[in-house]
Parts: sequence; structure tokens; C-alpha cells
Amino acid sequence: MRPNVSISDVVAAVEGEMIFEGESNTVQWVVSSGLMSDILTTEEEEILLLSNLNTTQLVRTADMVGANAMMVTSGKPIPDDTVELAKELGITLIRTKYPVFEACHKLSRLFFKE
Amino acid sequence: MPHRFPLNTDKAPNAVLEVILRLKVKDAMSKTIFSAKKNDNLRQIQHIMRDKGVTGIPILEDDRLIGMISVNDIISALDYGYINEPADNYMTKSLIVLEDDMPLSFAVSYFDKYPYRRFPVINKEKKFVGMISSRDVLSALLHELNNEITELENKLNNGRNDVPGSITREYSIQKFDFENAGKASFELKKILKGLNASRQVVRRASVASYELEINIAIHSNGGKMRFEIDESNIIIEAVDFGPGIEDVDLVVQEGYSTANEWIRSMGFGAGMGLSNTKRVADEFEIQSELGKGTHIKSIIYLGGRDEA
Amino acid sequence: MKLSSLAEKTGLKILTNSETDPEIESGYTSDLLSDVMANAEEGSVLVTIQAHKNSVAVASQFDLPAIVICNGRSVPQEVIDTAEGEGIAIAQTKDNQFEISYKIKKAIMENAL
Repeated sequence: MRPNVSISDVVAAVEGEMIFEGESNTVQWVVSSGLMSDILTTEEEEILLLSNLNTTQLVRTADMVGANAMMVTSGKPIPDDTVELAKELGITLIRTKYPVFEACHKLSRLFFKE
Repeated sequence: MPHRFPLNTDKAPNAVLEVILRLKVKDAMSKTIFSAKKNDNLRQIQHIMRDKGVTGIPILEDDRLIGMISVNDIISALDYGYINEPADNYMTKSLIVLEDDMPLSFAVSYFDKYPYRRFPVINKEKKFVGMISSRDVLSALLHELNNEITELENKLNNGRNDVPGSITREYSIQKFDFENAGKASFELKKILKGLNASRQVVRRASVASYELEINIAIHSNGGKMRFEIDESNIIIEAVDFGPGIEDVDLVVQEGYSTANEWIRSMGFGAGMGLSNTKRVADEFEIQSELGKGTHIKSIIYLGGRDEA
Repeated sequence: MKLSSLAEKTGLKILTNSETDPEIESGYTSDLLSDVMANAEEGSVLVTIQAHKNSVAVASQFDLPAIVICNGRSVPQEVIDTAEGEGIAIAQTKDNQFEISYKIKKAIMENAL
């Protein structure tokens, strides 16, 4: 059974910035990829989508797999239309300054009890 | 003036009128503006024009627009030898400006009325906020008209042929339109949720549809997504207008890709699209003819996977 | 940390011959080669699902000594051959990017203690 990790813990773990707070306030797992098709193969539920992409298609893909939240890495600027679509579809959008590799490590502590 | 712009005429269709009234000057204007101060000399302003490739520089005093220097002013300054003097004495002070909340139709009519190629834009508090050129207007109008007409076409095609117990939808997909690609799949997802299909079925149908829709945008000359949902099946079809696929067995192999680095940089083109679609679909068919187009049909059983 | 001991700790399967056992200092996870070229630091292992020759070319050009291919994606023999020719190691994992990234980072940090 996977833990319910709160979005606020996620934001804190990566010293992130909440761009838009959507409907869900927890996630159960992380999926990371820079390829949409790769994300679409996931069978996981209640996920946080981690990516160094910042386009509207990231939001569309998140919606298709029913992701609870998205995180854009490396402090990339997020275009207005991406933010707008996230709002329209009600999906949480977070940004972190860390690259994917570091962000994965920081987030992993939330999902595993050591 | 030989041709007036056909603005607000009796013949204009409502959709077009709506677009030029709905769009505001601020939606079309350029907000990245290079400005100067009244004490800057004309030589400095000429350098800004040269370096930034612009032909008109607003002169500001605390966010307020107090004048404009055009290329013509610079040419005169060079001709008459006052290029090293401050802008203050030579700038055009009686300016024709637009307000940022005005409908775009005002901007269009200003371009008709006045000989200028760009107008400064101010807000309600009289603060300078941008510049608008005929290029800006053209770009904003085309962009909005594309969206508007696509939506109209989709409305025309949809809902008309529904028979009881069956829903049919059709959406046209433009080549390289990454801004709108995915909208058809979003509509499918909404319909399926409305029918209370299971989470897994919605997800599999969404994945199949989205991959096929993105494929049309990336690889084809444009095409259509067609959905048909009856009591037992979700039929998702992607039909495009070419160029067609030479070897269909090859393209469904995972990892086979013809995408370039530009497409990869947007997160597509991993060579997984069709194999993903095939994996989530209960039935999958692909037909293609070089020079004609490709037709892909994938079916997902509404009741879920047959576990037998 | 040597790739071979990193592999032992994180369950990586090394596909290239054992002659190349580079030192791994850090990691960079990305599927966008232009992003890798711009931001990955020397000595990092590249974590990606892009199992094609371009990944090897970028790794070689920017001194990334090893590539880890995620999600158990198969790596074509010609890509392995190219990598061996360039002295770049290729490893494969069934894990996804998230899992293998934190495992590698954790192993490197523990190794440094």
C-alpha cells in the first residue's frame, strides 16, 4: 500500500513553489519523464508527474493519465498558457529549482520509510 | 485610400465580428518595448533602433508617454545635423494612442484612418503599456480566427448523427498545432466519464486517443479524429490526409521513430505512440497508402477487458 | 564511485563489456538531449529512456561516462557497439526514472561517507 503524501510536504521537500493549487491535495507515487508517450504507459494512480517539460502538452498528458499534480524542474519558466490549462483542468502545478535527478532523490524520502 | 478594411460591414459573419470585439488591444500588442527618456540624445535613440530592429521609440517620463521618435525624425536629424541633441526638442508630442481595453476593431480602424504603422498603447491610468503594429494585429487575428473556425467546424460535425444508444464525434486536427492537439481526446474523456465508464477504460481510451491525435499533429498533413461510442465499444479512429506510411509493420514497433530533435524537445517522438495505442486497445487496425494517407482504428470495449 | 559497485547497489545491468568501468560522480536525468548538452555536469551518469545512438554521441561529447536506460527498454546492439567504441558504458534497469534516480543518488551519497 502506497502512502498518501500531502502536496504541501512535496512542495517543502523540493523547496518548491506552488504555481496553482488544484483539486487533490495528496499524491501516492511519482512518475518522471521527458517523454509524453513514456508517461502514458504508466499504470500508477494518484501520481505526481515530474518533468523538465513545461508545455501545455504536459498538462494534457497529466490529464489523460489522471495525475493529481505536476512538477516542472530546473526552475524553468512556465508559459502562461500552461498555467491557464492547469487551472482549467484543475491539476496542481508546482515548480522546483532542482533538476530531475536531485528532485527524485529529495522526493523519495517522502515515499519510503527508512 | 483605395481599400477600406471590411470592418463591421453588414456582410461580416457574426463569428468574425465577435472575434474582433472580443480581442482587446492588450491581447495583440507587444509588451517588450524599448523606450528612451527626453534627455537622451537622438544618436542614442538611433542606436536603440539599429540594435533592436525597431522603427519607432516611445519617450517616457515615469511610465507616462510624452512623445515618439520615428525613423523619419532620425533621418531629418542626420540631414540637418542635430543628431547629438536631446529628443525633447524634436519628438512628436501630439500622439494618437490606443487604450489597452479597447476592442481590437479600434486598432484596425486606426490603421485605416491614420498613416502610422504603429500606435502606442496606454491603460486607464494613462500609463504607457505597449505598442501595437499592423503585424501584431494580423498575428492575433489569424490566431483567434483559427481557433474560432476549428471550433465551429467541430460543432457542425458533432451531435447531428447521434442515434439513440450511440454517440459520434469528429474533430479536425491541424499539422504542427501543438497548442490544440489533445483537445479532442479531452472531449472523449469527458463523454466517457459522463457514461460512467470504469477508470481503467477511460484511461486506456484516453491514452489511445491522445497518442493518435498527437501523431496526426506531428507526422501527417492534418487529419481527423473520429469517435463512435455505442453500448459495447469505444471506436477511436484517426484519419489523415497523407503522406502515408511505407512500412506499417515497422512503425508499430516500439522505438521506431522518424521524429526530429525539435519534436523530441517537446517530449514527443520517442517511437512509442503506436505501440502504446496497440497495447491499450482491445482491437487495433492500421491501413496506409503512400501519397494518400493513413487510417487507424482502435477499439476499446466499454465493459473493460475480456479476461477470459 | 565505480560503475560496477553502483550497479551492484542499485541493480543495474551493465550491457557494455567490462573493460569500461568508469567513475561516476553524480547523475543527470533527462530525455531531452539539448537539455543534457546544456546542463549535465561532467562525470555524471545520464539517466534516460532514449536508447539511441544520439544519446551515446552526446554522452561522449560532454564527458558523461555512462548511460542508464530506464523502464527495461531494450537497447539495440548497434547502440551498444557504438558506446563500446566511444568508451561509454551502458546499463539497463527495469526501474522508472524516479526510482533509479533516487537509488543512484542515495548510493553515491552513502559511498561518499
